[in-house]
Amino acid sequence: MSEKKNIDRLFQEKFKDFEATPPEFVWDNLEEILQEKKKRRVIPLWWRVGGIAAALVVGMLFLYPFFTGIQGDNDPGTGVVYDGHPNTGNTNPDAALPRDGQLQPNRSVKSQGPAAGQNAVATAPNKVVNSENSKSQIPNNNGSKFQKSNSKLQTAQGREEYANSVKGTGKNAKQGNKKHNNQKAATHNTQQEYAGNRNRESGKQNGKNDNNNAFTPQPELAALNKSQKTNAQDSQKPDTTQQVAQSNGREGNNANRQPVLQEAQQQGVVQNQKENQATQPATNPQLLTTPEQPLADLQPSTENTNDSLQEPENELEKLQRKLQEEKEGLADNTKPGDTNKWNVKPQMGPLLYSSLSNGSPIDGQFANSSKSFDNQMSYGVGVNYAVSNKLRIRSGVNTVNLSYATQDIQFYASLNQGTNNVARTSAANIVVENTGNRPIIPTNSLANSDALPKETFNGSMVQSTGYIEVPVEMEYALLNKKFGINVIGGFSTLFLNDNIVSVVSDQGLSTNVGEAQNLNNVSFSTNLGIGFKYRFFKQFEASFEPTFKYQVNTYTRDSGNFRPYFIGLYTGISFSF
Amino acid sequence: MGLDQLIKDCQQNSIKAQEQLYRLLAPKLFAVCLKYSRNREDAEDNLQDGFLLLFSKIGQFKFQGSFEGWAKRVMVNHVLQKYRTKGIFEIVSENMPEEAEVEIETEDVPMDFLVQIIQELPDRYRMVFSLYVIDGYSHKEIADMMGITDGTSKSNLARARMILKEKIEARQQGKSINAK
Repeated sequence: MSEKKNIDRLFQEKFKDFEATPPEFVWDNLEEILQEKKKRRVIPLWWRVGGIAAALVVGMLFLYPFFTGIQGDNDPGTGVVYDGHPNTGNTNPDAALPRDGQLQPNRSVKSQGPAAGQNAVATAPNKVVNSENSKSQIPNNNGSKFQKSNSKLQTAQGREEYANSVKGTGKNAKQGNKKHNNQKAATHNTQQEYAGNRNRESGKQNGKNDNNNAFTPQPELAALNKSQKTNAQDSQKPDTTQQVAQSNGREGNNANRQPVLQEAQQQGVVQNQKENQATQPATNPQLLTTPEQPLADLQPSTENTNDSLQEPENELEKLQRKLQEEKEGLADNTKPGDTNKWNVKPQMGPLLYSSLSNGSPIDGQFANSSKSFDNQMSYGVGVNYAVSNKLRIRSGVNTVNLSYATQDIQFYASLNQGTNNVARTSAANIVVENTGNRPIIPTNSLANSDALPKETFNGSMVQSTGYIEVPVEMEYALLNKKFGINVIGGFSTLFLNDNIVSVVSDQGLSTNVGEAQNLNNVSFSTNLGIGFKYRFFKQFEASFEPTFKYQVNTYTRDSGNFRPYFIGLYTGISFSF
Repeated sequence: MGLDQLIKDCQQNSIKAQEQLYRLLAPKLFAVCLKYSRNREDAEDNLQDGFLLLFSKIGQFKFQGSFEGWAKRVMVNHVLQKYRTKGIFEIVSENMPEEAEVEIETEDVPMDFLVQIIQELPDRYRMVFSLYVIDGYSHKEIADMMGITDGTSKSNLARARMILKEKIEARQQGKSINAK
């Protein structure tokens, strides 16, 4: 049988079809880790919530220019007290200069910016509390202390034990690394368990080497070892390799009976003595402190820095995202069950509004006056439910603030008159009229009880109305990929929560007139919009939805055929779950 | 289910598919681990971590070339990296003259014994020997993978051969003595 052979050839032939069945527990550990990982992906909610909050803050900063100084114009003054000075026939605008504080200076320069102290994103790091880890610290420490003291021991047994404890610490150091690594954190349980097997060995050594005093007493260790779940499969490990002695040792460990254990271990030591001298030749102190290198890449040279410790998580996430996108992008065959059904979206946007006809929100007499519409912001939160892949039902809550300014009006104070459709809220009645509606001096002034001549101011009348809007809409996806386009239709219920009529003189002074009486407390709007969205994470979407909302049933009585609508340019970031 | 479909399912993180793939590849990859690790326990560890890595990187497999080859490379690189940490490799004198051929008398040497003596080699000898002799990498490739020079790789290989030869011969001598 004997023949001369090149040693390379011998190994090549032998290893050509070499396969070896790994013990079953390797898969069990793997499965546990993989499942753990799958679960963990759902956990960091704070991160998502933080993301939404950050997006909101950024959005507010971005949209800041839209609403600087707008509301100031509507800021009602504290009321006008008409001093009753007869100033007959003075309709000259110049005469409207403030006298004796009749009109309060307009405090229009109020900063409307987001509160400076806003602290939106709480990004407390997600602390992984691993009680098992702290447990296993004890044997681990022992291990390393042992190593130090043991370095003096020159016996083969010492080496064997040394090697074992090195293994234990190596493993634990590895865990230390992994703790910082989100992905790997999932592996703790099983790794601990696994490490536990090895730590037991170092624990035992402590018992044997009592002169090395820096250890936890052995009973404690034994209890500790027992508390760690024994890996049952460990003992079923097939003895296919020549390292019988070592596996003997391990099986003994699993039995957790110290006396037997020590025997078994000693046997293992004796048998292994020779091998170990060769296998673990030089004691290598660096091994203790060197952290495990990052996981291998196909191009090891590119990933050889410690920074890449963080990499697996990112890689994995990226990968997942990419796959998800590819899947959706290529086939568009995602079943409804695959995607997240619910979706929450904080949104905001400027409101552009106007009327489809002339009309006036206050009174028919202003129907032909020119009107201006200040831009306002709308804020809100939307909730979506995906009925199918294409169809979503949505609702939510938004604020709607509208501010109509009717130009070319004049106003004056009166004792017994008032403005149509406006209930006074201030001390004095202020009559607002269309310029030119009214003769400068009433001819029948004497017959009129309001005989006193009036000081009249020219300016504009501002009606501010605020609503809480609750939309019920459907969204149909025309395009549903990374970039999506939807059509949106539905209606909103508008609950009136703000209603102020004020006047602003040409000089920029304003005063409160009262409340409009012709507004319904509950009104509706029909909505039609188009949505553009962009999915930038698996669960995050940025959307831009210009929506046209035509108001219905807003006014109870004559509003001069005013038919208001508003267009919300809503932008938001949605989070699906 | 074809292998391609299995890989795709693994890319979707299906645990079932991952298990199937594991069952399919584990014997081959465990063999790789045994060749490159210090002992069986390390090999088990490396197999586990290597599979985690493989599953996390499986999306990078572009269905070009053999998947098994790709998986083996991932595994080999993983194990190399593990032992690559500075200081792990023992300092060895590298002025060993290269021997072209090392001839030995071979009987039927058992597989277990061969695995054992490979594992007993110092880390770098083991890596170089397994990479060069068993897995057919060139010295240049090995040098790149391990961050050493071609010369070091060659001299490591020669030393590894000598050690292995001695061990095989010692075993045979022991046997023949026993036989007598």
